[in-house]
Amino acid sequence: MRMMGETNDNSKATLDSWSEASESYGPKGDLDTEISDLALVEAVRAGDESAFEELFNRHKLRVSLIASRFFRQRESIEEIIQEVFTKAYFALGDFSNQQESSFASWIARISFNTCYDELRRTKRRSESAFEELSEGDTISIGRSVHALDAGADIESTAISRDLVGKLMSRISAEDRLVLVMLYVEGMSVSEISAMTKWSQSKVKVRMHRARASLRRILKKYL
Amino acid sequence: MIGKRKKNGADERADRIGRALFRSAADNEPEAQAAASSPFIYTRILARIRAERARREGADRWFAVRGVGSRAVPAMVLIALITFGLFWSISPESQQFAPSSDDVLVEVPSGPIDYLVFTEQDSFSSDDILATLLNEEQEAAQ
Repeated sequence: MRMMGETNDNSKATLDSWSEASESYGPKGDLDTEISDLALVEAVRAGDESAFEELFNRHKLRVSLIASRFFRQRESIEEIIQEVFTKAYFALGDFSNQQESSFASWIARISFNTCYDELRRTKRRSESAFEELSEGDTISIGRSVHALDAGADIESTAISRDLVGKLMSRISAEDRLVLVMLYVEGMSVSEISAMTKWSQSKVKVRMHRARASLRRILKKYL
Repeated sequence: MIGKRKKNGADERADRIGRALFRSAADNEPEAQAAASSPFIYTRILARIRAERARREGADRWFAVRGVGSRAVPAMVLIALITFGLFWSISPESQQFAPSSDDVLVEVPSGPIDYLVFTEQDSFSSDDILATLLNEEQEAAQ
């Protein structure tokens, strides 16, 4: 079980900075990559499977990072990766037809939607809406929350990621989606709107509700 | 007013703590790296694509059969109704015969039409024919 204190700040990567590392730039820079992605898409549509493998290799880490925001288990993340690329394969026609600006943002959108669908499916499957917290868990969370309230940083509280995950599982799938985009990816309202295809007003309402939901959960420990 | 300030303050604290906890929960890069580097993951993706393609082709065939059936069945029902109507219209029970002075229905058949026989009132009976033959024989004998 990994402890928060062991997290290496240098290894943290936001979606943007990581995306620069994962994309292979050609000699012409960004434009070459974008053209290459489009050319690969057309090649896949023409029946070239190796082109699809190239697209997979370029974007698998992006998809995996997005999935890891929602799921802790490696098996679940792998499942999401497979689901995303399968959906992407059959939707390549939509990508070409709609002339999406970037394959990366297009597949990121598929990733978020797939994670959201899986969260909802998981919640429906389980009898309880959240993972049960033992008394020990509750005490541990309470201590960490008080420490954070006092100004400590998360690494020093030594709260386990699994325990925090249990706490976060109390949040609905919609709220988690918005909070990941807002707090973790640092996306703006317009970016969230573009990613989810929600209107900006709907995004704002969802953000407000998600924050209120998280506050309600944490106030029990404050 | 003071209560509202307190509430806002509490909300801000909860927001700050929530943001920190949420970010830490979502920070799962080692698992993400491991999942992306998993061996055979691409092979599994290809297998899924093939399975999905086969499922879609099966569904397309089923829809095609349903489409044909949805058009063929009403047409067949219509043909059956027309055929039944034709048979009913030419069946004897559906026909009404009014006896005339010249034509007398000798027999109303319950079977096929060719058993139906019409005869005239002033036609020769078999007795008349026999009497005529006997007269001719007597005249010949005389």
